[in-house]
Amino acid sequence: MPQPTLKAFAEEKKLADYCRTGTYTRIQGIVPGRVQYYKSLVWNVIDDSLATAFPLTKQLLTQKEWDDCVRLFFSTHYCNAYQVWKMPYEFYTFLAREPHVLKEKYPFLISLLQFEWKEIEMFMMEDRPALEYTNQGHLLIDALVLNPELEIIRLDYPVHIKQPSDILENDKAEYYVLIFRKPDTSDIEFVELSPIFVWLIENIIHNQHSAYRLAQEAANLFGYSQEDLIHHFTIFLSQMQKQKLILGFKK
Amino acid sequence: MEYTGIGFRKDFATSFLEEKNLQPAFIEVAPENWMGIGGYWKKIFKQVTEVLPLTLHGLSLSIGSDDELDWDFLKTLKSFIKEYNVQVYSEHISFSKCNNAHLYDLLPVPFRYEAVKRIATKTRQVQDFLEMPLVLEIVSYYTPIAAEMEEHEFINAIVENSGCELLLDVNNIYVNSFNHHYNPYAFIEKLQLDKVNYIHMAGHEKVADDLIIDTHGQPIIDPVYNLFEHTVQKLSKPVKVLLERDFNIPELNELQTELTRLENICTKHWNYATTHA
Repeated sequence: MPQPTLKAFAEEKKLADYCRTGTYTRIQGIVPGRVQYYKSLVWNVIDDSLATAFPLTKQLLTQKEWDDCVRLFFSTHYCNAYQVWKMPYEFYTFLAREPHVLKEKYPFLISLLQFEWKEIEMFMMEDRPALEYTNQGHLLIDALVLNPELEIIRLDYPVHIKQPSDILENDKAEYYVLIFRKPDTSDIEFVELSPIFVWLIENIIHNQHSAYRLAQEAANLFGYSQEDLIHHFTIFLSQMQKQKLILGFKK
Repeated sequence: MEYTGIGFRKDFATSFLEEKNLQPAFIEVAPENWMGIGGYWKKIFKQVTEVLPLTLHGLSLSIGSDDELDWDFLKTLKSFIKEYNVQVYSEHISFSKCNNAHLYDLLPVPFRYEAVKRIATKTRQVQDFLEMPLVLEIVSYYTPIAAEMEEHEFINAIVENSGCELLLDVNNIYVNSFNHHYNPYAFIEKLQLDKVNYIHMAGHEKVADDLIIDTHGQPIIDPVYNLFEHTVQKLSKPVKVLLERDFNIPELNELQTELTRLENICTKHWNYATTHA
């Protein structure tokens, strides 16, 4: 990082560095014993924001593990988000990117952080406009209009269905979770999906094909019986309609 | 209420809408907490701003640091100001980022000429871009750093060189006067009071015999009300007054009691002055 050449900014940098790292370099003209209040105030904002964003992770780690992790993040990472609620995303990606002993102790740690962050992101994200739809239609025959406020994520560990303390190393697999924001309450819902339903939803979104046609395509692509697929698609889509993931039918 | 508003917080948003026993003239929010969001909080925000005027009090501009302005932030802010017809955008004479790393709190700027010059340049850039005055708050601070001038000289130099307006946080002046051993009344006399566009009021916490922290977590104390009344009498024109309460939030009718007391002081002096002008 370039060093400021003017006195004012050189002294500001010393204070900022002290708040971030805890390492004190003499700052000119301070009242003795007062600068640590700034370090505490800054630390409290960071620690509170991360603890609020990642309650499951905080509960999983020991206090020392948590403190060390937060301290490492804040002292070595330059936080880019001007909105403090987005700063936890940088914590999650920092740990995902950097080698860290906690990732060996808790192999599912990154999945857990990803899961917790996605709930915040989905809850806070800007509204997405839905396509025009009608309530009259048939789930299998008509093109469906989905709630646009959804995302499918892939997790390496089943953090969405198991308590962190119950997750084992051999739970590692590919898990697909549909996250969506309910249009009426804005609550966030999670639905675990098998790969065939991931394929179904992605094709409904991107190709606007009817579920019936997609069942035909899936039968050819994956070798399943078309009748079985239609049966399972019907159950799945009815459930999704009840949960407001399906808003209606294309006009 | 004509003059007095409340810092709107998520902590009391639901009860604010349901109970209707807190009746401010306007609300103030930190734009960083409400820009670019949707869902539940967007709905709440729309409900409140449909019926109450909005002022903004920013946190992340970092006008006092050497960093360049964040133009992406300012573009988003400008749209937000337009969307909600915001009349006042205020910020702090402080720094909250350094080397482009956000610190998420307000740190003291050295009372030095190079800082005045940098703040004035950045302030003019913000004002030109937003096409509205930037209202800058005199912050509370617990230690000066590398000062080469008096605090009031520093503030006045910023006002003169930048063309900004002033947010006078009366509680900050009280806190600073206690922590740094000066007379708050005399300090206020030395400011360019015709540049004051906005007043903040809040509570604080004494954490040591010689130190008060500006927590916004307690009711306003009488000496701060007295300083406020003195300030109101000194201003040449009425301005908006805001009650800040960020932590330890009481029942809303207690906040209303504080608002009413502030409003009564404003009305007593400003309405009389208007009537007898």
